[in-house]
Amino acid sequence: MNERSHDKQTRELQALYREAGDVEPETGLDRIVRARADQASRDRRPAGRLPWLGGLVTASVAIIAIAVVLQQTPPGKPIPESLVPPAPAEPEAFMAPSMGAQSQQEVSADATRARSETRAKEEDSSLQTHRAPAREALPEAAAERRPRPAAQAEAEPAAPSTEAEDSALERITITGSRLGNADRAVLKSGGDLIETLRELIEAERIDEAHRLLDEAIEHDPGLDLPEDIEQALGRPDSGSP
Amino acid sequence: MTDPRTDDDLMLAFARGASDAFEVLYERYRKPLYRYLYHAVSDKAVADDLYQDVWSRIIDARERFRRGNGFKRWAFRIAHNRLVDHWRALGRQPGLDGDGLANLPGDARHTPDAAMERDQQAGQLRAALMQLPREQREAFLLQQEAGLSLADIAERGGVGRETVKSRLRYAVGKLRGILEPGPEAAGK
Repeated sequence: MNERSHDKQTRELQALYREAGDVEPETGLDRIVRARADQASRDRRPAGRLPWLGGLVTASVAIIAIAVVLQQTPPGKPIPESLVPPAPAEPEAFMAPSMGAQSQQEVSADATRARSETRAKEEDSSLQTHRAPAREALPEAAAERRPRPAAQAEAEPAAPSTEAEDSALERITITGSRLGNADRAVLKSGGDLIETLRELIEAERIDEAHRLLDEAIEHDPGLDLPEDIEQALGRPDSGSP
Repeated sequence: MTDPRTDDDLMLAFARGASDAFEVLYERYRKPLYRYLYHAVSDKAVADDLYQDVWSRIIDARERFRRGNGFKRWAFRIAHNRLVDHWRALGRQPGLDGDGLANLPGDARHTPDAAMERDQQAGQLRAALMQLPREQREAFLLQQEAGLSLADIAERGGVGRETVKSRLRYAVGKLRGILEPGPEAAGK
């Protein structure tokens, strides 16, 4: 009963409080509080945006920089070395554009083989074992030594190994010419040999003709020579021209 | 149209920089907070200062607010703490010394009869509230304005639930005793 009476009194008092105690802050006070809240919101905004904005600006600058570099590179020209990873200079880069892809590959493989074999020959004085590959390398090496078109030379990046390669190729050519003479001495016989000897005699290259003849006789001791050649050079065993 | 967001959602939005969320929240709590402070001190100038200070504290502490806090309880805790500071600074138990009635709005005497009667009732109520001990008045106002439960009020005051219940019972009984004889008796 007491509890009910207390609840009733409380409700009546609450109603009185609601009615009589209704006060509110003045407009000026509201304005001050709202202004303070606005200021706080404004102060926070830049700090919240900065990290996002900074990342966006950095990414944009990087993309624009790359785009500008790519735009300034003409389509025919290679991309600047700073943007391309370094690659070893290959001989096919110096090939004439008219050559087919397959022949370029063959020549490239031959050149590589010839270079390695030449190095081996320098160490080993035996010329016979490496005769065939060296002979194959000759035209390719000569082609490499041919002067290049100016535009092509301009477009080619400077390779630090070019001079070393050139000197190696020169050695191949010299060695190859020696091998060619020896081959001629061994292989030429009969009509071919006679013809060659006559040409050498006519050209007054007597020493060379003698050397060729000696080698031919060493290979074939029973070699028959025409009289005119015997007269010009003399029999090797006779010891007089 | 009423904003469907909860108080906590609004406060969190405001903490992220949405000033419109604060506007909604402020509309919901401007009256309850002001009434709480005004009836606690019964002095308009002091209540205005306290009110402004409480909202400043709410704004400054917005980034520390967490969803589980409950905005109403959180805001009234700030107001309660500010009141305690005020009373400590005052150095004495506030009581009815006539200032409460003297601080009635200046134009109250020049309003029509109905309005005059209402103002008299309001003054009578404030006077009655100020006659209560501080703890009883605090408990009554927190229940009326913040709608806090007995447990919440007990936790705020650092006392037991039964203590708060007892304080509220005494407060209501005294207020009834003061107010029942009539407006004149309460004013005397």
